[in-house]
Amino acid sequence: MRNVALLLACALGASCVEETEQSAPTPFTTKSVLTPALLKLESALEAMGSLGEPSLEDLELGQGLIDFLQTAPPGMGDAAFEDAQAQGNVLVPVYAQLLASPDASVADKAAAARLTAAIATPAAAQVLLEQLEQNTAPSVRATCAWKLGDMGFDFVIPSLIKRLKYEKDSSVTPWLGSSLAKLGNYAGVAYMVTVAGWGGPGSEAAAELYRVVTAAGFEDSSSLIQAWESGDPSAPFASQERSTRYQLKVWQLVQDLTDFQLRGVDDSRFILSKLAKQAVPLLTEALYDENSYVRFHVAQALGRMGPRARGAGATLVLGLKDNLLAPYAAEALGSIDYPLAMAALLEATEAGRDPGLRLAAVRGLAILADSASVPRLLELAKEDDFPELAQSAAEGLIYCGQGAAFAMRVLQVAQTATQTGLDADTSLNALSHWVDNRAGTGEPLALEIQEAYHALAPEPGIPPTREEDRARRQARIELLEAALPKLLVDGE
Amino acid sequence: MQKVLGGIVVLFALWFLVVLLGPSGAAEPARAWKSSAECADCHSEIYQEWQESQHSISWTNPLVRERSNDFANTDCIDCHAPRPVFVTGIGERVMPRSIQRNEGVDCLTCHQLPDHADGTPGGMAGGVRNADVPCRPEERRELVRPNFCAGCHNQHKTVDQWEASHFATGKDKEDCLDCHMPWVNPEDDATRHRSHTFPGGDQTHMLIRAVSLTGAAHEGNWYVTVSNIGAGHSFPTDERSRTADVFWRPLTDDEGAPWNHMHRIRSPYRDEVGVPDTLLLSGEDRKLPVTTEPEGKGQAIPSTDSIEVVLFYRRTPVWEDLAHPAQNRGAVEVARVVLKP
Repeated sequence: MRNVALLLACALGASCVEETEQSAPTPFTTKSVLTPALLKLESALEAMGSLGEPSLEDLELGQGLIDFLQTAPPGMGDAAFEDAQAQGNVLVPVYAQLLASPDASVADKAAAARLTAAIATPAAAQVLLEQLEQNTAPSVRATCAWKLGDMGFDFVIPSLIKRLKYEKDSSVTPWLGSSLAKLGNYAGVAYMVTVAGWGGPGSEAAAELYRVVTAAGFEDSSSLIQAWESGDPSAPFASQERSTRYQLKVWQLVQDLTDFQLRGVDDSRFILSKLAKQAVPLLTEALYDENSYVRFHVAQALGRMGPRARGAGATLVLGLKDNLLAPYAAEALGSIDYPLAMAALLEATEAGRDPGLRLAAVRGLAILADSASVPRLLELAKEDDFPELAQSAAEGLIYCGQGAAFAMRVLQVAQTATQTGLDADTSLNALSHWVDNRAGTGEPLALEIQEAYHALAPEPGIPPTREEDRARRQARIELLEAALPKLLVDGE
Repeated sequence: MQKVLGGIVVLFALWFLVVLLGPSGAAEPARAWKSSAECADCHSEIYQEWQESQHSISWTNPLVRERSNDFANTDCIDCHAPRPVFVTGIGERVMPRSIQRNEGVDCLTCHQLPDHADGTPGGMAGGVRNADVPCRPEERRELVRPNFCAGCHNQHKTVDQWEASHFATGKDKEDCLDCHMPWVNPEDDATRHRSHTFPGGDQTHMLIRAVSLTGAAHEGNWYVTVSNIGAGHSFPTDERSRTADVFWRPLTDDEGAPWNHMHRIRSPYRDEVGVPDTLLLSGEDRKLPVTTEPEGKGQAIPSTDSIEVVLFYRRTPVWEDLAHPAQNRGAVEVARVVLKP
């Protein structure tokens, strides 16, 4: 009988289909974006071409300028740079060969790098980029990093950022950060702060950091980093225009996102997420690309960029309608401080939407940590038929400042995770966040719990065994079982 | 009114035909599966096997948690909690999923088929087609092809290594499943199935089967040869963290006597500039001089001395105590050879 009713309902419902279709939201339409963008930019640029083999005469001239630079009296060295500049690209292959030679001295290589920079052409910058990546002498890499900023070509920015990821020598990193800053990108400042901390206040790294901070018009590095990460439109570095060659580099990085090997993809999403906000319109366009890897990774990169990517907010909201993009767009919306993000995320949590999207939207709301989402999170925390969603919602309530009411509930999730198949660690992380916040206000009991909790962390660099990991988790749960009720009473 | 009644009669007739004549299983729409735990209802033995596997702990493994900073490095999620392979595309790079990450590389990762065009669940991929069971398996031979594993495992070139090996090209071809999903109860038609414990580098018997260590005197000095005799890919195959190290020491009765590090077999992290990739290729024999310093440096050890040589495997490249490899956490002795004059 139930089947008859269903068939009748279907027959009657058919007349409503047209109306439903009319009121359906506009689909998110993907198209070919990447390929036309690359073709357009490539055709607008002259290829750098190959450098060719240097002639004997050029080799002698190039070596002569190096010798002169190293022996010239103070103040006279500039003549060598002027001569190098006058020769233009002719000397580029000479210095490229010398910089790559295993027989040349480090001093000659450092001089060659400076003279290459003086040539001041894109081809010369390309040679320095290659040496920055490959040269084994830190002093040569440091010289390349330093001079690339002086040359003023913004297309080197992605390569400087990539080097931030891999550079291990603390004498090179400050110059990467400094050159990036000269080119209007402050992604390296946090790295400079770390290195300056190792060297102390009198170090070269600290001096260069000071120069970067003051040149940007800030009083300290923290304010500069905050302005950079927040995408502050009033910051002095916010509106620098980018060249065609830079835009081509950005699209090439987007193309790298389609590689099979994650090595290149990881590099690309790292670099894209550290670009300045001028890259956001290009990345926003890429969100529509027909290639699913492009859409997914670009959403990731925008999310990691944080509020600098605010300009992509409207497209990410539309992307919530794209089956593939939706969960990644939801998590990105949690991070970019877009004013309409919360409304879109709340809608994405509605029953009937894809479970992956609902969960990602709740995670996005937890990152947003806006108390306005509390009523909806309260409802979702009761969804017993979707325990993972209920868990994330309860954790989200803690991130939204409802720790006092939900700490015990989240602790219970962690306690029963082995039986329920849920991830105890996400719940423990939420509780740890709440305790840290309480400790941040100087509450003595919270400070005590915080210390005891973090003392149970595994020793850095030594992965625990599975048994140790279970024991560590259990110890943390027991610690919180004993301590949270007291902390809750204190809080009241 | 007549038309309405006529319509109802036609609909009733259709319903009757469907109920009476249709296959019992096919009458129910395919279910949507949210969690691999649901598979245990019917496939408890296989589910139990999977729970013992590294795949089941790809999200919770403390080693991975430590390396990924509790997955704050979200790049790691792609392979450690992937979307179903049939959805992303066989041989294509995997993508991360949002739900049930705690289940790691689970049943659904390999078996769930994409939804049909009308949005109804697509059922499962399996070894046989059966429309009468809840998961509606379709026979999909792609499941047993090496390319099926490539989305994750060829990130470390494992499938490429296999394709270049005699395991792929020789007359007695063996592929991923032959070693890593061996048959369970092969003689019993009722219970025969592929093991879902996925034995690999986490199991000592697999390591012992993969490599051998032999030694011989040559021109008055000792040499040892490490051979990849049993792995259809490099040993170790994974890059970066997995490592195999060879040590030697004078032969004594003292089991606690210190060892000398001889050679490291490992692919470096991508930021380790100047560190060579020394993975032992499938079928490769690597002859190593026994010397006082690592990597063939220092003085050669004369074959008039009695020595012992040992090969250890670890899932982390950092040794806390190189002189006493057995005391390092997780170190597994794979092979040992005693060389006497």
